[in-house]
Amino acid sequence: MKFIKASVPVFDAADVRARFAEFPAVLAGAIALYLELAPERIERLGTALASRDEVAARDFAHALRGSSANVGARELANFTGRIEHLVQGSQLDDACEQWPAVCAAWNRLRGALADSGPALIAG
Amino acid sequence: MKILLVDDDAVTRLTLAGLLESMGEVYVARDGHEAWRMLRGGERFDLVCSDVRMPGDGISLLERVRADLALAELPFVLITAVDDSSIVTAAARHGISGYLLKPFTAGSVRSTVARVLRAAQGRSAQSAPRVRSRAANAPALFSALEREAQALMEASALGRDEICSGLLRLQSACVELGLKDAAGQLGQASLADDAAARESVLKAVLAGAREIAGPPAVAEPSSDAPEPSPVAPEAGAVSQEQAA
Repeated sequence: MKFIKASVPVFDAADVRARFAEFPAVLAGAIALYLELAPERIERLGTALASRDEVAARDFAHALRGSSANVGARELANFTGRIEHLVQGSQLDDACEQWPAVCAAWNRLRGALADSGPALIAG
Repeated sequence: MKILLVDDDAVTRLTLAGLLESMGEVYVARDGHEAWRMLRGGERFDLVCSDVRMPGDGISLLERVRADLALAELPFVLITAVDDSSIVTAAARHGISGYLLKPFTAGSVRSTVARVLRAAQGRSAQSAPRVRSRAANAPALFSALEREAQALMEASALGRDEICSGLLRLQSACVELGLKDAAGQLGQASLADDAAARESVLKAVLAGAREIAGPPAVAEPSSDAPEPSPVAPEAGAVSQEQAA
Protein backbone atom coordinates (compact mmCIF):
# COMPACT_ATOMS: atom_id res chain seq x y z
CA MET A 1 0.00 0.00 0.00
CA LYS A 2 1.38 3.41 -0.97
CA PHE A 3 0.59 6.65 0.75
CA ILE A 4 0.61 10.15 -0.61
CA LYS A 5 3.04 12.32 1.31
CA ALA A 6 1.36 13.82 4.34
CA SER A 7 0.47 17.48 4.29
CA VAL A 8 0.33 17.94 8.04
CA PRO A 9 2.54 20.30 10.00
CA VAL A 10 5.71 18.98 11.61
CA PHE A 11 4.69 20.66 14.85
CA ASP A 12 1.19 22.08 15.27
CA ALA A 13 1.85 24.94 17.65
CA ALA A 14 -1.63 26.43 17.29
CA ASP A 15 -3.22 23.11 18.21
CA VAL A 16 -1.22 22.60 21.40
CA ARG A 17 -1.56 26.23 22.44
CA ALA A 18 -5.33 25.86 22.15
CA ARG A 19 -5.42 22.50 23.95
CA PHE A 20 -3.22 23.57 26.86
CA ALA A 21 -4.19 27.25 26.97
CA GLU A 22 -4.26 27.52 30.75
CA PHE A 23 -1.42 25.10 31.33
CA PRO A 24 1.71 26.28 29.47
CA ALA A 25 4.01 24.73 32.07
CA VAL A 26 2.35 21.32 31.58
CA LEU A 27 2.84 21.60 27.83
CA ALA A 28 6.47 22.68 28.12
CA GLY A 29 7.20 19.81 30.51
CA ALA A 30 5.47 17.29 28.26
CA ILE A 31 7.42 18.43 25.19
CA ALA A 32 10.72 18.30 27.06
CA LEU A 33 10.01 14.76 28.26
CA TYR A 34 8.83 13.73 24.80
CA LEU A 35 12.05 14.97 23.17
CA GLU A 36 14.06 13.11 25.79
CA LEU A 37 12.26 9.79 25.31
CA ALA A 38 11.51 9.84 21.57
CA PRO A 39 14.96 8.86 20.22
CA GLU A 40 14.99 5.56 22.11
CA ARG A 41 11.36 4.86 21.22
CA ILE A 42 12.01 5.48 17.54
CA GLU A 43 15.05 3.25 17.65
CA ARG A 44 13.00 0.48 19.26
CA LEU A 45 10.35 0.82 16.59
CA GLY A 46 13.03 0.51 13.90
CA THR A 47 14.49 -2.56 15.56
CA ALA A 48 11.06 -4.17 15.83
CA LEU A 49 10.34 -3.51 12.16
CA ALA A 50 13.75 -4.78 11.09
CA SER A 51 13.32 -7.97 13.11
CA ARG A 52 9.73 -8.32 11.84
CA ASP A 53 8.37 -8.42 15.39
CA GLU A 54 4.76 -7.47 14.70
CA VAL A 55 3.63 -7.20 18.31
CA ALA A 56 6.52 -4.97 19.35
CA ALA A 57 6.26 -2.86 16.18
CA ARG A 58 2.54 -2.31 16.73
CA ASP A 59 3.05 -1.41 20.41
CA PHE A 60 5.94 0.99 19.80
CA ALA A 61 4.15 2.61 16.87
CA HIS A 62 1.02 2.98 18.99
CA ALA A 63 2.92 4.56 21.87
CA LEU A 64 4.77 6.95 19.57
CA ARG A 65 1.60 7.91 17.77
CA GLY A 66 -0.18 8.73 21.04
CA SER A 67 2.61 10.72 22.64
CA SER A 68 3.40 12.54 19.38
CA ALA A 69 -0.21 13.58 18.89
CA ASN A 70 -0.36 14.63 22.53
CA VAL A 71 2.46 17.17 22.16
CA GLY A 72 1.47 18.42 18.69
CA ALA A 73 4.07 16.46 16.70
CA ARG A 74 1.49 15.77 14.04
CA GLU A 75 3.71 14.63 11.19
CA LEU A 76 5.39 11.98 13.32
CA ALA A 77 2.03 10.98 14.79
CA ASN A 78 0.76 10.57 11.25
CA PHE A 79 3.57 8.29 10.07
CA THR A 80 3.66 6.16 13.22
CA GLY A 81 -0.12 5.87 13.00
CA ARG A 82 0.25 4.49 9.48
CA ILE A 83 2.81 1.97 10.67
CA GLU A 84 0.51 0.88 13.48
CA HIS A 85 -2.37 0.50 11.04
CA LEU A 86 -0.29 -1.46 8.52
CA VAL A 87 1.19 -3.79 11.14
CA GLN A 88 -2.28 -4.47 12.52
CA GLY A 89 -3.27 -5.48 9.01
CA SER A 90 -0.21 -7.75 8.78
CA GLN A 91 1.27 -5.55 6.04
CA LEU A 92 4.72 -5.55 7.54
CA ASP A 93 6.56 -4.86 4.27
CA ASP A 94 4.45 -1.75 3.68
CA ALA A 95 5.01 -0.71 7.28
CA CYS A 96 8.78 -1.02 6.82
CA GLU A 97 8.53 1.28 3.80
CA GLN A 98 7.29 4.02 6.13
CA TRP A 99 10.37 3.82 8.30
CA PRO A 100 12.49 6.41 6.39
CA ALA A 101 9.58 8.83 6.60
CA VAL A 102 9.48 8.39 10.37
CA CYS A 103 13.18 9.18 10.64
CA ALA A 104 12.83 12.23 8.40
CA ALA A 105 9.82 13.49 10.35
CA TRP A 106 11.71 13.09 13.62
CA ASN A 107 14.68 15.06 12.27
CA ARG A 108 12.39 17.85 11.07
CA LEU A 109 10.58 17.95 14.41
CA ARG A 110 13.80 18.06 16.40
CA GLY A 111 15.07 20.85 14.21
CA ALA A 112 11.87 22.86 14.45
CA LEU A 113 11.67 22.59 18.23
CA ALA A 114 15.37 23.27 18.72
CA ASP A 115 15.21 26.40 16.58
CA SER A 116 12.02 27.96 17.80
CA GLY A 117 10.25 25.58 20.21
CA PRO A 118 9.71 27.97 23.13
CA ALA A 119 8.50 30.72 20.79
CA LEU A 120 6.18 28.30 18.96
CA ILE A 121 4.67 27.17 22.23
CA ALA A 122 4.33 30.65 23.65
CA GLY A 123 2.86 31.99 20.43
CA MET B 1 -11.03 14.15 45.35
CA LYS B 2 -8.54 11.36 44.70
CA ILE B 3 -7.90 10.39 41.09
CA LEU B 4 -6.00 7.30 39.99
CA LEU B 5 -4.29 7.88 36.64
CA VAL B 6 -3.13 4.72 34.84
CA ASP B 7 -0.93 4.93 31.75
CA ASP B 8 2.28 3.26 30.63
CA ASP B 9 3.33 6.30 28.60
CA ALA B 10 5.36 8.79 30.63
CA VAL B 11 4.46 11.74 28.39
CA THR B 12 0.73 11.08 28.69
CA ARG B 13 1.06 10.57 32.46
CA LEU B 14 2.86 13.88 32.86
CA THR B 15 0.41 15.76 30.65
CA LEU B 16 -2.78 14.33 32.07
CA ALA B 17 -1.56 14.51 35.67
CA GLY B 18 -0.79 18.19 35.09
CA LEU B 19 -4.32 18.80 33.84
CA LEU B 20 -6.05 16.68 36.49
CA GLU B 21 -4.18 18.25 39.40
CA SER B 22 -6.44 21.27 39.17
CA MET B 23 -9.37 18.94 39.98
CA GLY B 24 -7.98 16.78 42.74
CA GLU B 25 -5.14 14.76 44.19
CA VAL B 26 -3.61 12.62 41.44
CA TYR B 27 -2.10 9.19 42.07
CA VAL B 28 -0.22 7.49 39.26
CA ALA B 29 0.06 3.83 38.23
CA ARG B 30 2.24 2.74 35.32
CA ASP B 31 0.09 -0.18 34.22
CA GLY B 32 -3.09 -2.08 35.02
CA HIS B 33 -1.38 -4.44 37.45
CA GLU B 34 -0.02 -1.63 39.58
CA ALA B 35 -3.38 0.13 39.42
CA TRP B 36 -5.18 -2.96 40.70
CA ARG B 37 -2.76 -3.25 43.62
CA MET B 38 -3.40 0.40 44.48
CA LEU B 39 -7.16 0.00 44.19
CA ARG B 40 -7.11 -2.99 46.51
CA GLY B 41 -4.78 -1.20 48.93
CA GLY B 42 -5.81 1.18 51.67
CA GLU B 43 -6.46 4.25 49.54
CA ARG B 44 -10.02 5.06 48.48
CA PHE B 45 -10.26 6.68 45.05
CA ASP B 46 -13.07 8.76 43.60
CA LEU B 47 -12.17 8.29 39.95
CA VAL B 48 -9.98 6.12 37.70
CA CYS B 49 -8.61 7.45 34.41
CA SER B 50 -6.98 4.58 32.56
CA ASP B 51 -5.25 4.01 29.26
CA VAL B 52 -6.33 0.94 27.28
CA ARG B 53 -3.26 -0.55 25.63
CA MET B 54 -0.70 -1.26 28.31
CA PRO B 55 0.41 -4.24 30.42
CA GLY B 56 -2.67 -5.27 32.41
CA ASP B 57 -4.86 -3.52 29.84
CA GLY B 58 -7.54 -0.98 30.64
CA ILE B 59 -10.49 -3.15 29.67
CA SER B 60 -9.32 -5.95 31.96
CA LEU B 61 -8.82 -3.44 34.77
CA LEU B 62 -12.34 -2.10 34.22
CA GLU B 63 -13.72 -5.64 34.25
CA ARG B 64 -11.99 -6.41 37.56
CA VAL B 65 -13.21 -3.18 39.12
CA ARG B 66 -16.82 -3.84 38.09
CA ALA B 67 -16.64 -7.40 39.44
CA ASP B 68 -15.41 -6.24 42.85
CA LEU B 69 -18.17 -5.49 45.34
CA ALA B 70 -16.25 -2.71 47.06
CA LEU B 71 -15.18 -1.02 43.80
CA ALA B 72 -18.04 -1.79 41.43
CA GLU B 73 -19.53 1.72 41.50
CA LEU B 74 -16.20 3.52 41.08
CA PRO B 75 -16.33 6.04 38.19
CA PHE B 76 -13.98 4.76 35.47
CA VAL B 77 -12.84 6.76 32.46
CA LEU B 78 -10.90 5.23 29.58
CA ILE B 79 -8.22 7.21 27.76
CA THR B 80 -8.46 6.18 24.13
CA ALA B 81 -8.17 7.34 20.54
CA VAL B 82 -11.16 8.26 18.39
CA ASP B 83 -10.61 5.34 16.02
CA ASP B 84 -10.65 2.61 18.68
CA SER B 85 -14.25 1.55 18.04
CA SER B 86 -13.68 -2.05 19.14
CA ILE B 87 -12.47 -0.77 22.49
CA VAL B 88 -15.53 1.39 22.91
CA THR B 89 -17.75 -1.65 22.29
CA ALA B 90 -15.87 -3.77 24.84
CA ALA B 91 -15.84 -0.99 27.43
CA ALA B 92 -19.57 -0.40 27.08
CA ARG B 93 -20.19 -4.06 27.92
CA HIS B 94 -18.34 -3.59 31.19
CA GLY B 95 -20.07 -0.40 32.30
CA ILE B 96 -17.57 2.31 31.38
CA SER B 97 -18.37 5.74 32.84
CA GLY B 98 -16.80 7.91 30.13
CA TYR B 99 -13.98 8.44 27.66
CA LEU B 100 -11.10 10.86 27.36
CA LEU B 101 -10.36 11.03 23.67
CA LYS B 102 -6.74 11.51 22.59
CA PRO B 103 -5.35 13.99 21.87
CA PHE B 104 -7.19 15.54 24.80
CA THR B 105 -7.58 19.20 25.67
CA ALA B 106 -7.67 20.85 29.08
CA GLY B 107 -11.34 21.61 28.47
CA SER B 108 -12.28 18.07 27.43
CA VAL B 109 -10.55 16.62 30.49
CA ARG B 110 -12.36 19.01 32.80
CA SER B 111 -15.80 18.51 31.24
CA THR B 112 -15.47 14.72 31.04
CA VAL B 113 -14.42 14.39 34.67
CA ALA B 114 -17.20 16.72 35.82
CA ARG B 115 -19.84 14.84 33.80
CA VAL B 116 -18.73 11.42 35.01
CA LEU B 117 -18.68 12.50 38.65
CA ARG B 118 -22.13 14.10 38.37
CA ALA B 119 -23.53 10.89 36.91
CA ALA B 120 -21.88 8.83 39.65
CA GLN B 121 -23.39 11.03 42.36
CA GLY B 122 -26.82 10.57 40.81
CA ARG B 123 -26.43 6.79 40.76
CA SER B 124 -25.18 6.77 44.33
CA ALA B 125 -28.28 8.68 45.50
CA GLN B 126 -30.53 6.18 43.70
CA SER B 127 -28.80 3.11 45.11
CA ALA B 128 -28.45 4.41 48.66
CA PRO B 129 -31.68 2.85 50.00
CA ARG B 130 -30.73 -0.58 48.61
CA VAL B 131 -27.24 -0.41 50.11
CA ARG B 132 -28.63 0.82 53.44
CA SER B 133 -30.96 -2.14 53.53
CA ARG B 134 -28.13 -4.57 52.89
CA ALA B 135 -25.94 -2.83 55.43
CA ALA B 136 -28.69 -3.01 58.04
CA ASN B 137 -28.83 -6.79 57.62
CA ALA B 138 -25.06 -7.14 57.83
CA PRO B 139 -24.69 -7.61 61.61
CA ALA B 140 -27.08 -10.59 61.60
CA LEU B 141 -25.22 -12.11 58.67
CA PHE B 142 -21.87 -11.63 60.34
CA SER B 143 -23.10 -13.17 63.59
CA ALA B 144 -24.37 -16.22 61.76
CA LEU B 145 -21.08 -16.57 59.94
CA GLU B 146 -19.11 -16.26 63.14
CA ARG B 147 -21.20 -18.98 64.75
CA GLU B 148 -20.56 -21.23 61.78
CA ALA B 149 -16.85 -20.50 61.86
CA GLN B 150 -16.67 -21.26 65.58
CA ALA B 151 -18.52 -24.51 64.97
CA LEU B 152 -15.95 -25.40 62.34
CA MET B 153 -13.13 -24.66 64.74
CA GLU B 154 -14.61 -27.01 67.31
CA ALA B 155 -15.38 -29.67 64.76
CA SER B 156 -12.28 -31.78 64.84
CA ALA B 157 -14.63 -34.75 64.85
CA LEU B 158 -16.14 -33.61 61.56
CA GLY B 159 -15.12 -35.25 58.35
CA ARG B 160 -12.82 -33.47 55.94
CA ASP B 161 -15.62 -32.96 53.40
CA GLU B 162 -17.83 -31.28 55.95
CA ILE B 163 -15.07 -28.85 56.86
CA CYS B 164 -14.43 -28.11 53.21
CA SER B 165 -18.08 -27.50 52.61
CA GLY B 166 -18.18 -25.03 55.47
CA LEU B 167 -15.03 -23.32 54.29
CA LEU B 168 -16.44 -22.79 50.84
CA ARG B 169 -19.55 -21.20 52.28
CA LEU B 170 -17.39 -18.96 54.42
CA GLN B 171 -15.22 -17.97 51.49
CA SER B 172 -18.31 -17.00 49.52
CA ALA B 173 -19.65 -15.10 52.47
CA CYS B 174 -16.43 -13.11 52.79
CA VAL B 175 -17.37 -11.41 49.54
CA GLU B 176 -20.36 -9.98 51.33
CA LEU B 177 -18.08 -8.50 53.93
CA GLY B 178 -17.35 -5.80 51.39
CA LEU B 179 -20.52 -4.31 52.84
CA LYS B 180 -18.36 -2.48 55.30
CA ASP B 181 -17.08 -0.34 52.42
CA ALA B 182 -20.58 0.41 51.22
CA ALA B 183 -21.63 1.38 54.73
CA GLY B 184 -18.59 3.61 55.08
CA GLN B 185 -19.37 5.37 51.82
CA LEU B 186 -22.85 6.14 53.08
CA GLY B 187 -21.44 7.77 56.19
CA GLN B 188 -22.60 5.00 58.51
CA ALA B 189 -19.29 5.03 60.28
CA SER B 190 -20.35 3.04 63.33
CA LEU B 191 -21.80 0.25 61.22
CA ALA B 192 -18.71 0.27 59.02
CA ASP B 193 -16.40 0.05 62.06
CA ASP B 194 -18.50 -2.73 63.54
CA ALA B 195 -18.43 -4.62 60.26
CA ALA B 196 -14.68 -4.16 59.97
CA ALA B 197 -14.12 -5.51 63.48
CA ARG B 198 -16.30 -8.51 62.72
CA GLU B 199 -14.44 -9.08 59.48
CA SER B 200 -11.16 -9.24 61.41
CA VAL B 201 -12.59 -11.81 63.81
CA LEU B 202 -14.02 -13.88 61.01
CA LYS B 203 -10.80 -13.84 59.02
CA ALA B 204 -8.87 -15.06 62.04
CA VAL B 205 -11.39 -17.84 62.58
CA LEU B 206 -11.29 -18.71 58.90
CA ALA B 207 -7.50 -18.96 58.98
CA GLY B 208 -7.77 -21.39 61.88
CA ALA B 209 -10.37 -23.42 60.07
CA ARG B 210 -8.11 -23.64 57.04
CA GLU B 211 -5.40 -25.12 59.20
CA ILE B 212 -7.80 -27.83 60.33
CA ALA B 213 -8.81 -28.67 56.79
CA GLY B 214 -5.31 -28.46 55.34
CA PRO B 215 -4.32 -26.94 51.96
CA PRO B 216 -5.24 -29.87 49.66
CA ALA B 217 -8.77 -29.99 50.99
CA VAL B 218 -9.33 -26.29 50.35
CA ALA B 219 -7.96 -26.53 46.83
CA GLU B 220 -9.96 -29.60 45.91
CA PRO B 221 -13.31 -29.60 47.68
CA SER B 222 -15.50 -32.65 47.68
CA SER B 223 -18.10 -32.99 44.96
CA ASP B 224 -20.70 -32.92 47.72
CA ALA B 225 -19.64 -29.43 48.70
CA PRO B 226 -21.88 -26.65 47.47
CA GLU B 227 -20.57 -24.45 44.67
CA PRO B 228 -19.21 -21.14 45.93
CA SER B 229 -21.59 -18.38 45.00
CA PRO B 230 -20.71 -14.73 44.51
CA VAL B 231 -23.28 -13.75 47.10
CA ALA B 232 -23.29 -15.13 50.60
CA PRO B 233 -26.21 -17.18 51.84
CA GLU B 234 -28.81 -15.31 53.83
CA ALA B 235 -28.33 -15.26 57.57
CA GLY B 236 -31.41 -17.41 58.05
CA ALA B 237 -30.18 -20.05 55.66
CA VAL B 238 -26.88 -20.31 57.51
CA SER B 239 -28.70 -20.74 60.80
CA GLN B 240 -30.87 -23.51 59.37
CA GLU B 241 -27.83 -25.40 58.19
CA GLN B 242 -26.34 -25.08 61.62
CA ALA B 243 -29.47 -26.35 63.25
CA ALA B 244 -29.41 -29.34 60.90
